[in-house]
Amino acid sequence: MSLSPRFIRNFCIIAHIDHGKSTLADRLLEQTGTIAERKMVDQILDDMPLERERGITIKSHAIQMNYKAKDGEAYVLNLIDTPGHVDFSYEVSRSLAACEGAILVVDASQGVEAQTISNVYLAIDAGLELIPVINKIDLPGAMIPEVKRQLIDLIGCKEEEILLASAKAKLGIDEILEAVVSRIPTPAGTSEAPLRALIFDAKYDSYRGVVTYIRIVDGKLRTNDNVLFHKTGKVFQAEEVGVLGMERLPVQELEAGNVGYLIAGVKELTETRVGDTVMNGDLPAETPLPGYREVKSMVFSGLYPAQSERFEELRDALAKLKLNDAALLYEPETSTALGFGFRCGFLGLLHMEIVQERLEREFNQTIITTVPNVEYRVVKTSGEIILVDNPAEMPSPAEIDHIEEPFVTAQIICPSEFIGNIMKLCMDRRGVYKNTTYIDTKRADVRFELPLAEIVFDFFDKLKSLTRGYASFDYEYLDNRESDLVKLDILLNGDVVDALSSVVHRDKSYDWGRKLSSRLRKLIPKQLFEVIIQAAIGSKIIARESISPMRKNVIAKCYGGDISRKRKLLEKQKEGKKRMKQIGRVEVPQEAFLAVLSLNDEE
Amino acid sequence: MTPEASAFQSHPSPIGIYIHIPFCEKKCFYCDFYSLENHSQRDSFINALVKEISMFKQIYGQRKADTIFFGGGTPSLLSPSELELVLSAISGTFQIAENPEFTLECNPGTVDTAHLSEYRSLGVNRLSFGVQSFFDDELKFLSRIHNAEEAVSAVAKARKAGFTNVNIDMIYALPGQTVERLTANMEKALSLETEHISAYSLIVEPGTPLNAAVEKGEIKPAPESSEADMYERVMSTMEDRGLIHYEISNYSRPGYQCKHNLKYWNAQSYASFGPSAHSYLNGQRWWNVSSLTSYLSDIDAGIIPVSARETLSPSQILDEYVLLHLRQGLLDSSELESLFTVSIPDDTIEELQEGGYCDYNGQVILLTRRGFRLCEEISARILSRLADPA
Repeated sequence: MSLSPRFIRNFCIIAHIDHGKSTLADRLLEQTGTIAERKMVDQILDDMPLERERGITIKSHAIQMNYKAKDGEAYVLNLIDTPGHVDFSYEVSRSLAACEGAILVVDASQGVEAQTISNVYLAIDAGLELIPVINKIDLPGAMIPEVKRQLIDLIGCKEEEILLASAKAKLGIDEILEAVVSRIPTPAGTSEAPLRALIFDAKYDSYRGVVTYIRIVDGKLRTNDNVLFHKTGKVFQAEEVGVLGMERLPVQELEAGNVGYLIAGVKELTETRVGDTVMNGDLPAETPLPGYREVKSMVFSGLYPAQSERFEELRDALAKLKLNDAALLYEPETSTALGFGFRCGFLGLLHMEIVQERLEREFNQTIITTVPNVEYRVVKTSGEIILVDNPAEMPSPAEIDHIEEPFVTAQIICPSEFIGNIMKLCMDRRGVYKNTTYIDTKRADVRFELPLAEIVFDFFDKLKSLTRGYASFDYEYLDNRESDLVKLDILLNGDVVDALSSVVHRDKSYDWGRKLSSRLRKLIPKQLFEVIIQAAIGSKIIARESISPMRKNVIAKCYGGDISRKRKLLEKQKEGKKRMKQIGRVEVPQEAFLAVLSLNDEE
Repeated sequence: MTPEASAFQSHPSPIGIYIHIPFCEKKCFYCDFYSLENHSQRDSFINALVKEISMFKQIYGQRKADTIFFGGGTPSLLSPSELELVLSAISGTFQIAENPEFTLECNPGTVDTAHLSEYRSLGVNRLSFGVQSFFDDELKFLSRIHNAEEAVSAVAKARKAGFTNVNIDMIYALPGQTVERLTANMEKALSLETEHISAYSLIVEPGTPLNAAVEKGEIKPAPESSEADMYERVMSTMEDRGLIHYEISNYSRPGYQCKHNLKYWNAQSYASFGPSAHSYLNGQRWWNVSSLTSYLSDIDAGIIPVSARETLSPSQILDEYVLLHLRQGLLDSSELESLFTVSIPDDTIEELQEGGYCDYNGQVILLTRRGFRLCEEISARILSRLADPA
């Protein structure tokens, strides 16, 4: 059966976190009968447990719905889900490239937020038709006229184009579906041309190998066709093609305009790249699709297996994870303190946390993460320029002419009464104030230029607590700037622990060294031996703390009835030790390697 | 075949017998052993106990037993005729060795001289008195029913009744206790010249009134450092007077180590009866319900009143081996290697030696006083670092 692009609509939903994107997606699925109401698990599209728990969508997924519109025609609606968080703008743009339109959801009580704006820009860049929707209109705090004005200012739409809805209360859902049909353009491209399909996502299935999610831009893709992955140049046979309902539904062919999946017996994770173009192996198209821009890692950190013998397992897990998280970059590295591991590049701090949690949950890895850092551009006295993404590899001060660090433009939207707090926070973080504009009478848009290094440590949490949760935040890489930076080392009983080294601004280094030592004193438990913690810049010790040895750790009584109970306590103690890293004689808990993250709370 | 029976067949060395008497005149507020102040079901209990022991006749099939230990609770509440009843059940199920070690725990507040002689004639040859302190205010704090004078006279009565193997239990590191008080207590205990002294630091056990008081902030436990100092003081005082420190909290004259307790610590078999009692046979441990009501109804229905069992995995046996041996102050690294094919890395032992925690002769790790103080930490440290033998 051939499906005319006239009856296909490809769209996504973009929204700031918690503005109701997932609930709306659920409602659309329900309304179109894609899934029966009673079968609904909240937030159907977010099928990673982590996503459901955090209430955020990390990975894009796609689902096909059948909808009979008021014009009497049957339409196929492909909903491509997008992540909402600041770190994931790259993933958002991936999803957008597979769509012609986007539903822009804004919470009626919150209004336009920082990620609303950044997502809107991405959508406009991608040339998408926007359908503005004000959600949660039934909430007592709904400010419909204000939010309407914000939307008109932001996207230049007409007031009557804005739809009002409550996904939770099932209000306005039909209107949204009708708007998808009537306003979103039909897919361009033609089935007559040679096949060009964009891979917008992929995952690994242990039985079938790599499953790629594709948008057919031109041509047709049939089962048993030979398919060519343009970038790798490899040809495979299409074992199965299909559309994405609640499960995969195989079909004989997919035509231009449609969205679906392709299974082609690809076993090696490296052979399929998200952003690549799938062509017909016998009749390749002349040019590939534009694809995606290369990812730029902003935050780096070392990932090490807690037990060094599990290094290979971690390598496999990273390879599998990378398949559907193209933004994750990694390469092997060695630490004297932690052994063999990987230096990883992330889009941001949340991305790092999510990778860490997915490794633990989905791949059962226990990992130690080192303090995140940015990438420094170091100009040596010899004139050589090197990029340093691991503080331990910073050259000695004598070799350094100067160091440059990445700066970002930060956009913070918040109620105007918090501007003072935000100014103080950003100045503390070496920010350069740019300007403030007002979105409406109550809310301001504050712009700063900030060193990226200053926002990877708990900036977002601080911002939230200083604004009682009202501020929203987004940032974009700006440039590299020279800064007076020094490498701060931590010594345990006289030995430098490379995994605890950090690069900090000279003006903050003493304070930092003192706080870090004091934090470590609290995180490292008492041991059989005294532990001396020192912070040093070069050979100069700038802070010192000590942990006195443990004095008593023995249970007085242990008779017949108690032995099992005592053994269980001992097993716990033993397992605790196994999770620690032994550095010289000192047993260091995993949290200590992230001590810097909570440093700003240290008195 | 029940697990108890199958476990037994491969392990024929003499067994220890433990009998739990779940009654006390008054519950002590720090104690977490199962015991009741209500004695109304005492007769039913004795009958049930006799029945329980007899239920194991087939399983133990006249296995040889060389230690008997009546604990509780307060076993000295038993009348000689009750004791006799239980003993005849024991003889029906086990073959009692010649001169077994036969211990009965006594509350110094309820010692009856006539009873003591009769216990002795029934074969009891070791008494263990829960003295705890020789200061009346401390005894009051511990909610004991006896006073210091009664404690002293209890030991005298035992001697008079002919007992030549007597233990007293002491508790130290009470909240606010001074080192002077502690020393005085130990001196007094030593002056009674008993063959054995157990000295425990006060443990705040979950579920006890003491624990509740600590959680409410009404009682502040002794800080770690003063507990450590007191423990060292206890060890040195005992050893200076020629007692052997043979387990974390146990000291004895040479040859008077408690054979029954050593079975617990050397993973030897013990068969136990009464509510909450734990048995161990060849890597299997099971324990009875901690409820007299359930115990009685199970026995009445002809069911063994087991609450749960566990079969120790090889790694659990190893964990217990290391822990229990270090609690006795020594770990034989070559025995460890031959039994479990694991070895302790050299640097782990060197660190312990350098820290003054142990002596090492190339084979046996011998804990110093400092090492005894940190026995759990050292056990966990060794266990977390065991490697395949080189």
